[in-house]
Amino acid sequence: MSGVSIPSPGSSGSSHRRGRPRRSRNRSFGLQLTSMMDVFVIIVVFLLKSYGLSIMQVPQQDKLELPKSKATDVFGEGITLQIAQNTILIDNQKVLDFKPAETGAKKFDLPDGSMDRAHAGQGILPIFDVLKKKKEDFDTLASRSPNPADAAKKWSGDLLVQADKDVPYELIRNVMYTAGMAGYKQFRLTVAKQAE
Amino acid sequence: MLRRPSKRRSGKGTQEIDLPLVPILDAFVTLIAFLLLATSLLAVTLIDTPVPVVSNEQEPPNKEKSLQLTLRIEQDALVLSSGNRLVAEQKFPKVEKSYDAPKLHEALLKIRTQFPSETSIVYMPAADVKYDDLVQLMDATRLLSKTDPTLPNVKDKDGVDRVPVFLFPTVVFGNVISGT
Repeated sequence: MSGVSIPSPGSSGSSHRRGRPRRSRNRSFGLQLTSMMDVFVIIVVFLLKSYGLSIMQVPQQDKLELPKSKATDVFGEGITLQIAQNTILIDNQKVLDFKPAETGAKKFDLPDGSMDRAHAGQGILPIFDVLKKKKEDFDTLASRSPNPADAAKKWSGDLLVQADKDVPYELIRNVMYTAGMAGYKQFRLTVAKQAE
Repeated sequence: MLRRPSKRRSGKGTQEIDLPLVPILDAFVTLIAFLLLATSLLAVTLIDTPVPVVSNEQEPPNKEKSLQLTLRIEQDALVLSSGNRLVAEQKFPKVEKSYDAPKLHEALLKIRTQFPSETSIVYMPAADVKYDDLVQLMDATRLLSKTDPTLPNVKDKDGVDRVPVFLFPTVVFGNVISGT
């Protein structure tokens, strides 16, 4: 009698006959979510950390690659001025288009009539107009506040400058001159953080 | 003294409890989507430089004579000098088509050790110097590296001795108004 299996009472023994293990059809299926949760927690922590570092918004702009720097100052507020290789924007509004010069010592060609000939030929008129308007808007708002003197003191005069790394200094100098004439006191050069 | 655990609870069968992870997972998916949209993965930093303005104010007569350290950035070299001739003029030619920032940094370290209260430097770049070169030179001028020797302590506004954390933190562009 050895080697002969006797089916237990209640079992049909049909699965043995077909050569397949018996499966119950009504077993519930549960997803293993714990490991997925671990991954998600790590991603959320990483993103939250990155979010804390990037308070400042840097809009992506064609033909604008920021130079890299080891500077550590990360927080900045103010009016944003972007100098790309062929355009200048203030608070994401296009102010001036220009083209890089093909010949000669000068590296860029501003459109005719955009330079202010009255002030040593250095100021850029469209930029001056927009920056002056923004300063005047701030002054108007400050004058309407309950305490105008305190509100006026909040003017920091900061200009966040995001310039392409290949822009010549002459153009930056012209923009600096224009900003100074419009009442801005501080240039905050925005650069990409270099890994140490 | 602690009481013996109740026999009623130490059960015959331990029950498996499934945590309801699905709503937490939903919240995490939403949070990740929001953070991915809102986060810029480009880390940015700032370098401050004051915009020069013309002033008619007289310099205070009792003010200590400043170094007036000036860096001329020419097309082929850097020239470091002092307006008051307190430091001998030094020239650093370009090395392999790039400015010799390490040599400049060494020279500035020596000057800062000699004049601990000096914190500013005036840049006079040529018109066609690239902005990227300016930023690299500003790093060499402003920042101290870990291998640099410790600078002499400087008294802050409250009269407390502090170890300087920057070399020459204030960089002013001197030829903005003159245009030369």
